[in-house]
Amino acid sequence: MLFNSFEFIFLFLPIVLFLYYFLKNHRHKLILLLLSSYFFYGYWNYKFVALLLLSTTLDFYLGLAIYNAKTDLRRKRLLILSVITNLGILGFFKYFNFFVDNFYELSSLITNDTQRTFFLEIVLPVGISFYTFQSMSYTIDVYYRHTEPHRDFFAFAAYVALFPQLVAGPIVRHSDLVYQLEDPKKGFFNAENFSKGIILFVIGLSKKIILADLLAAAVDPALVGLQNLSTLEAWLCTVGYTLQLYFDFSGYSDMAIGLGLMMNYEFPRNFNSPYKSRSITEFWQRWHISLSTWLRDYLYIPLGGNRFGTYKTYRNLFLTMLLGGFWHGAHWVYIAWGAYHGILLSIERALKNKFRFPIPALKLPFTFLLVMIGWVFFRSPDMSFAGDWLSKMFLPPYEFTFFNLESKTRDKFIPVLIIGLVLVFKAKNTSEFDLKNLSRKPQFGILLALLFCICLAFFSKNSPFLYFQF
Amino acid sequence: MNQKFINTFFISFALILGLILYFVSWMDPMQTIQAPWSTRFVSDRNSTLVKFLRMSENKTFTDLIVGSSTSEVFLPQTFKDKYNIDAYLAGDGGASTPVRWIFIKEAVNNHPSLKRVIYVADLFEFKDLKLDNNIYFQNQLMKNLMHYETWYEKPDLLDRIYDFLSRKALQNSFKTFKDYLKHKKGGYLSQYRIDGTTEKSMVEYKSSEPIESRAHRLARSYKSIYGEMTTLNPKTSEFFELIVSELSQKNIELVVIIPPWHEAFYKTFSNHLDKTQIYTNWVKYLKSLEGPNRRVIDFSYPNYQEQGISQSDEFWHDGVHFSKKTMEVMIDKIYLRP
Repeated sequence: MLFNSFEFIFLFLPIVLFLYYFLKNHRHKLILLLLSSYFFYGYWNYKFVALLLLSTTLDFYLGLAIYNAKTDLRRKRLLILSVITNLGILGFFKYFNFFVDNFYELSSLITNDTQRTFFLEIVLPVGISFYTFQSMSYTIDVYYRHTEPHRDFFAFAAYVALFPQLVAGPIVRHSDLVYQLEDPKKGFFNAENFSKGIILFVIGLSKKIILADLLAAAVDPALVGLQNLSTLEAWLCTVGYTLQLYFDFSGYSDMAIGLGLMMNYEFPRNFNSPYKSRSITEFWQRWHISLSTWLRDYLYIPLGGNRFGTYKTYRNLFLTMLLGGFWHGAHWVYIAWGAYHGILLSIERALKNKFRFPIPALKLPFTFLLVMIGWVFFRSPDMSFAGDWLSKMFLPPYEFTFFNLESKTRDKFIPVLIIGLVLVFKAKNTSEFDLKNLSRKPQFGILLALLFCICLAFFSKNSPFLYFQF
Repeated sequence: MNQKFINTFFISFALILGLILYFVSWMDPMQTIQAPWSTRFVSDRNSTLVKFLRMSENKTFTDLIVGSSTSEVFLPQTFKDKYNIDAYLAGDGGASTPVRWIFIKEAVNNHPSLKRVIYVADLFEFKDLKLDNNIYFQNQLMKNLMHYETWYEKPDLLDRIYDFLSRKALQNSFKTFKDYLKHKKGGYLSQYRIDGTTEKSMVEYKSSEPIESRAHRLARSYKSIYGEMTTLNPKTSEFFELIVSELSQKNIELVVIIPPWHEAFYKTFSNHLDKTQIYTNWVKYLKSLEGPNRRVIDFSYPNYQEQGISQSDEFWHDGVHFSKKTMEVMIDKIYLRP
């Protein structure tokens, strides 16, 4: 089920919210959240509900076992078991065919035999990258004693499966959410939170429907004919995709945070105007914050962080970003994207305090350019496509024709591109809005209602969020 | 104050949405809602229904042209000028086989003057046989499809809701409203002539963009159609058999035109087409329809090049839509038999 669907907006959400506030018993509310989250997930494919339940059950009992273990060795072994299980599930569904394909590619170089005799038709469960990481962070936190183990299975299962953030984040830490789930006061209707939630939900929806989808309508068909694009068109597609990805993903995050607020749950912000960054380091403090902090806390720091000398710091940065790229998808393009950012972060670290950017005002556009180049890999179906795309952008012949964007979408594309650029560089992001003040203005409610109706008119049956594929 | 905000939001939302729903259902631009308060006014936005109604007013045509947008270049005026034939252009953009059957069956039943059906085929007919809301929920059009419900996909309730609340429905409702006001004042005139054409049909397409580029660009938007087809839908063949049988019984000639694809369009899909053989199998299937009182004229790629149609601009609008010059070559083939 998508947030931008009539089934969600007119059926699922009103029913769940109504029942949530109608039920008086806090435990019943938790069970409602759990069942509705499983229903939400199962609506996409009921077969993978069992997988979600398995992952949740394993980590719940492993968390308790880790906490109760008598020796450090036993605690460590249980933690390893949790990590292996979670990564095993993720690895099988997401990466099995990637490794098989590459094994065949490699062996065909040696044996000249290109026949693939072994291949599994594996469906990637929606949200698996998110909920396995979320669940795994819990057992790691219990191991490091950053959090107490959860003793209530239903509350824990609700934490893992909570529908607003189940399929595409934000990745919420157990310690950030557990006290909220267990607090009976959260079950009482809070008009301020509810109105803030409405504002964020509608704004997030608008970003997705009005901005991201309109940009995609021009960029996607243009990229199908990459060979015929001019230099100008290749650049427009790059900028278009850069904005599309941001509005799509940050729009989703806003909706998820808004839905949480409607039920009095506060999720961490996930984006903080990332394209206003003046360095790649800063970019990763502003983009997909819940993932970048997860990678920092559970990968970069355990690898040693910056504690073991310069070269190990670079190694750790590179590995963290490489694996972060790989998390996004089982393809070389994501690995390349991760490696690219790893190299940039290492270079920035190396040049820190040694190099002054010649024109400080150009730091932002330069960073934006570097980020856009990275997105070329992210968007490309394979490395060859990425190479062709970058060649179109940077290598001769330089052509500035404008025929290859569909004329009916072209008219909307340029204005939306300009509006998008103004919004990302100049406007406040949703986490900077004075929601408390806005939620007290009834006239803003009217505007929001109008915006909501406009979004409804743009709904289509098939407009998933980009990060659902991860 | 927060409660006031929430109340204002929901009340405003309900009012705006209610207004939109009422307006769309009142105008009912595609005649798909047919609420008690709907105007029942048919404007040119509803091209399929308008063409259907126009056809019923035309009692003299002997040749019926059916097809999708590729057939819309077959101008009845050209038939009249060149061969003194009265033709009716029932071609409609995106028309699936069931929609073409609607026109054929209506013509067979109610036009004794009908002698020939010119069927401009499309490969996409063999993909999905889904009926859009504007056909399925329109009784006048559906009466000839009632017996074949298992042959095509029907819109479901969600389709209807998405359609009802869509931007397109609202835009069409506004345009229909403008026409409705003119109609109320007595000044509304449909653009559609008695032969199924409009003023716009007469205008030759002109572009400074090279045809290869136009063809490539079109191919990209057809990727989700032809790029994903792997086999020919057997349900489409059942419709073809129905058409053949119906026309044969009434002794009406069937001329199937296999239209051309520009080389640049074909080559965008050539790997896929070579692998799946769908294009070849489609041409083969259509050719197998030949028989008594049934002809198939093959302008498929690359055969059209031997028939006086080249890759150059003058013959093409884009990768699949051809110019009037190409159309004239085709109708010469229909009427100038060796």
